[in-house]
Amino acid sequence: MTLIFLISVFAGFIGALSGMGGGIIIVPALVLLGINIKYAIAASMLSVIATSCSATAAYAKERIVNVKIGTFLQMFTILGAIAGATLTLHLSEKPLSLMFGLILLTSWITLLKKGVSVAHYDNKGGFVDNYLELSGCYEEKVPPYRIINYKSKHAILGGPFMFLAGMVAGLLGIGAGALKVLILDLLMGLPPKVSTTTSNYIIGITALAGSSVFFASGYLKPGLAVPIILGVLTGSWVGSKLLVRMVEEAVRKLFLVILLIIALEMIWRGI
Amino acid sequence: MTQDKQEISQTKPQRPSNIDEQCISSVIADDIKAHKDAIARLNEEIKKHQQAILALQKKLSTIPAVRKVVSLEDIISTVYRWGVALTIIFFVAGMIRFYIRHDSLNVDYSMFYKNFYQFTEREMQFITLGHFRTEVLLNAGLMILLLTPMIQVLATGVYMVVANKNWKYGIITLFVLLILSISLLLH
Repeated sequence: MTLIFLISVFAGFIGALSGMGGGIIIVPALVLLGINIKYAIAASMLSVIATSCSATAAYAKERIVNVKIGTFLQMFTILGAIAGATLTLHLSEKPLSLMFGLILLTSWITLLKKGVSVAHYDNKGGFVDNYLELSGCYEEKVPPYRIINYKSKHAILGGPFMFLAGMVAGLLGIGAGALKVLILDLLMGLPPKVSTTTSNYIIGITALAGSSVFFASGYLKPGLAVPIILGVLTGSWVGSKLLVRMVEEAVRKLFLVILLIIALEMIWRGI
Repeated sequence: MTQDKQEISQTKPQRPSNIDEQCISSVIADDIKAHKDAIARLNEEIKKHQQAILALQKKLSTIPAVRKVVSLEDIISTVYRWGVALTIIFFVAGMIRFYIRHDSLNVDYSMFYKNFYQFTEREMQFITLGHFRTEVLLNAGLMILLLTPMIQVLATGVYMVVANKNWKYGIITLFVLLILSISLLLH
C-alpha cells in the first residue's frame, strides 16, 4: 500500500505539471504490481478526478483556466468518456493501446517540428468561436509580466476531436490530457499555459463521467483507490505550485519529453 | 496634426521685408518649434503613463480583495478546494482508523450499489446515525469526491445565468449536468 502511495505521488506530480492526469503512470504501474487492469483503470479514473480538482483549484485562482472554452468542450468529452468506459467493460484494449500510442507519436513529431511556440494568439476565430465568446487573457507570473490576450479558432472541429479524447480517457482510465492539450494547442491555437490548465479543468468532469460507468460495474474498489488518490493529490499539489511560476518554454519541453515516454509505453503495451 | 503645425511655423518666417524682422521671426519660430516639440514629447509621456495605468488597473482587478463581485473562477476554486479538503479528511480518518483498529475490512472490498444516488443515500444514513466505520469513512470521502465536480458544474451554470445573464452557457452546463446525472443514475 505504501508502494502504491509513492507511485501515486510521482504520477500526480507529473500529471499536474504537464496538464495530464496521473493515470498514464498509475495504470501500467498497478498492472506491474499484479492488479487486474480493469480495477486499475477504475481506480485510476477516480484519482484523475482528484488530481484535476486539486490542480484546477489552484489554476482558477490564478485566472489561467478558461472556463468558457472548458465548459463548451466538456459537452463532448463526457459523452466520449461514457462511450469509452462502456467499451472498456466489454473490449480488449491491446489494439487500441497500439493505435493510441501511434497517434501520440505522430502528434509528438508535429509538436517537436513546431518548436518554439508562437507569441501571438490573436486568432480570427470561426462562427462557433465568436458565438460562444471563446477568448480570454492572462498575466504571466514571470518577468516581463506581459498580459497575453488570446482567442480560439476551429472550435467546430475541437468538439468532435474532444469527443475522441474523452473516449480514450474513458477507455484507458486516464485523463488523456496529452490529447486534450494537443487539441487546444495545435487545433484551437491557445497558449500552452491556457491549454494545460483548461485541459486539467475538462479532465475532472470527463473522469467523473467515466467513473459513473465503472461505479456500479464492481470494478471500483475504495481500498485500492484511496492510497492512490491520497498519493496523487500530494504529487499534484506540489506540481501545481510549480507550474504557475514556470515559463512557457519549460512547460513545453517537459510536455514533449513526457509525451514521447507515453507514446512509446502505449505502443509497447499494444504489441 | 503636429506635422501641419510645424509646416505653418516654417512658412511664417519667409514673409518679413527687412533683415532684422527676418532674424527676429526666425528666432521666434525656433522657439515655437521647441515648445511644440516639448508638447509632443510630453504627449508621448502621457500616452506611456496612460498605458501603464491601464495595465496596472487590469492587474489590480485580478486581486481578490479589490474585486467588488465574486468571480466564477473564485467559486470554482472554492468548490474544488473544499471538495478535495473534505475528501482528504475522510480518507485520512478512514486510513488512520484502519491502521489503529485493525478493522476486519479487507482493503479490496467492493461496492455493490445500483447507482451513485442509492450509494449517496445509504452513506448519508450511516453518517447521520454516527456509524463511523472505516468503510463508511472511505465511502464518504468517495461520495464527496464524485459530488465535487457535479457541484462545480451546477455552480458554473447558476453563475452563468444569474450573474452573467449568459443563457448560452446556462444551457451548455445544464446539458453537461444532465448527461452526468443520467450516467450516474442509469448504470
